[in-house]
Amino acid sequence: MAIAGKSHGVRIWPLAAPGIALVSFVVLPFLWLGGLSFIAGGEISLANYTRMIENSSYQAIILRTLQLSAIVTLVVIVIGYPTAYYINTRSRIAATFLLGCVAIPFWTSLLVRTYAWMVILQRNGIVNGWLQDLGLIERPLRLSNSFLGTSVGMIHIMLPFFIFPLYSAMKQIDMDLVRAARGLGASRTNAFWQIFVPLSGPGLFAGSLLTFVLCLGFYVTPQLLGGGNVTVISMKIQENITNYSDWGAASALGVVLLVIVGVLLFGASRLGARLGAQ
Amino acid sequence: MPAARSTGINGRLAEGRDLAAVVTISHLVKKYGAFTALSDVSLTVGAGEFLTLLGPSGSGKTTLLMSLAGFADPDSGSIRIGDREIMGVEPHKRNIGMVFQSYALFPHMTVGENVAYPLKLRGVGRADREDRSRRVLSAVQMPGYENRRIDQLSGGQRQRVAVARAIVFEPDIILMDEPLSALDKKLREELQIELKHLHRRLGSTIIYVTHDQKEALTLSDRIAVMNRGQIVQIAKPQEMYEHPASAFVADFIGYSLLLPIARSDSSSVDKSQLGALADNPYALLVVRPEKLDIVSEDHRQPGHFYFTSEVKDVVYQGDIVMVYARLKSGEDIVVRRDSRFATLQALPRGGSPMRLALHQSDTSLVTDDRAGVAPLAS
Repeated sequence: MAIAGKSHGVRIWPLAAPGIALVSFVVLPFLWLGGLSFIAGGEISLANYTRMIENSSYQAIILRTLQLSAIVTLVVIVIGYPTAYYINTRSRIAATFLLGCVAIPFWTSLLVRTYAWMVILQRNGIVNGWLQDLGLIERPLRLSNSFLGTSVGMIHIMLPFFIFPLYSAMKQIDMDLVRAARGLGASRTNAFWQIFVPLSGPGLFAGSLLTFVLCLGFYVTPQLLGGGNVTVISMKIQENITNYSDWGAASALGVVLLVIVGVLLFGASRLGARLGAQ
Repeated sequence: MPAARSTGINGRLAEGRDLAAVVTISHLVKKYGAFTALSDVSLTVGAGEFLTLLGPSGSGKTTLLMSLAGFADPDSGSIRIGDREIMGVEPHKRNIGMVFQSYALFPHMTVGENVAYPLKLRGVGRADREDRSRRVLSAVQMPGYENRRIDQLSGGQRQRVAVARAIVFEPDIILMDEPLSALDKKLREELQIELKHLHRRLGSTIIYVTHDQKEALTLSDRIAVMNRGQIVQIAKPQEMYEHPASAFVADFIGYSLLLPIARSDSSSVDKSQLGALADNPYALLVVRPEKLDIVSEDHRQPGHFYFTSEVKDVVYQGDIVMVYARLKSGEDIVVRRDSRFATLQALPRGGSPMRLALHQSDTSLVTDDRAGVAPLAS
């Protein structure tokens, strides 16, 4: 028995590797940072958190982050849903090609795409050039270094994250259901809104949530396309570390971001469970 | 008119009133590239008739059904329901009830909402909607299931709900696409009988697609056998089985040995009692296992074919026994017997000779149309 147990133990032991990796690379650093957030000026204190409540610029940053993420997510839904729907109605070959088109920017470096948008949106960029040539505007619009530019860049980057889960959910929908609705007397529009859209709900929900949560932590795009005019949580964290070496303040912001995401995911899973139970 | 609508189905369920429509299909053609799914199909389905489209896969039966429902778009031809042409009419304006093979019940709606959905689309008020769904659910043996979720139902229950949803809005005709194929054999047979009774009570025109020949024989008023995009025979079940028009039909419906009668060796087949019958050199004799009698060597009566064979194997299958034998000319022949004690006792053993008799009323001669039997849809 003892021998059997021992040999068994030896064989099973490598299976613990992922667990050890998780603890050493995720749990411990997290606890470390979490602990740091309660240290200010070398003492244990809540100063890092009280500052966030007292200093209205912190609240503005958090609100701005949420606002940016919400707007990006909404636009991604408006552009991404019809795209996924269209791909879903195509033949297999066409769908593969179209998904490839969605995926190519997905494989391109985020930094490259952000710089590309900077070139396109800058004062003397393509968009301003066109608008001026067409005589629609007299002076160049402030497209880069702004909230608008940041949103455009983020929408472009987030679209694949939304389209892929939504498309795979749409692929699962039994099109006989839509046909059945048509046969029972539903016009194309009715069948789409009453049958197809509700059935694509889980994919829509998952894609939107993924987009929103990823947006909350965006750093490169707001930094480069915002041109200092759009400050989001991740930028404040970076500023606290590189400019002030204040790990406590940075950690506290990290914890707040994590709590926001946690609350969102919890709420979403509750909502998802309720929708599923209906 | 509105009064008639609101009492219609319930009235029919109660009194068996006949409000069904005639369906006239003429010269329907549908091609998918080089593949001809429907090749000049014409068919008239009578008011209140239960017509089954039967055929192997790729025979065009599903394309024909989908053309009726409006999900396939024939290249040419005409489909009329009553005196209304429906070719080119959008599916939702055809007023046809359809039961899908997968049932196609909406998973995000309750049973009641599913059944009431076509009524809601037609602007029927809530109270009326609920009332009518309730009555139709009772008619399909599902009373009180309104608030159940679809995933709480068994296969047979889903099938019933799908039927309820297809009849609740009093469609002109009802289409069913292999609605029982996903169920196990016992339940399938129960539901066949239920469907037959429901059809009698509703009196609606039903067009039913199946590849199960036994189901077709059980349910239908008439059967249309399809092959290679054409209807090869339309007949009542009994006539179809007893007098198939071609070798394809004889082979597809039931099991049969098809014997080239004129060319057959006289030592195997004795035609002496049949006079001039069956001298057509291309004709095939349809020999069904249950129509054969095992007889003694000296048995000779007018109107009978006689076969001389050697028993190869006797296989007991519970309710029946199959006797596999070989004719002297080399063809395999199968005899089906019941499994009563006395019958079993009298059966010949493997290796022993067996003389078989077949009355001319129990067989027919068919032309061999199988040489060109289409490959399945490529």
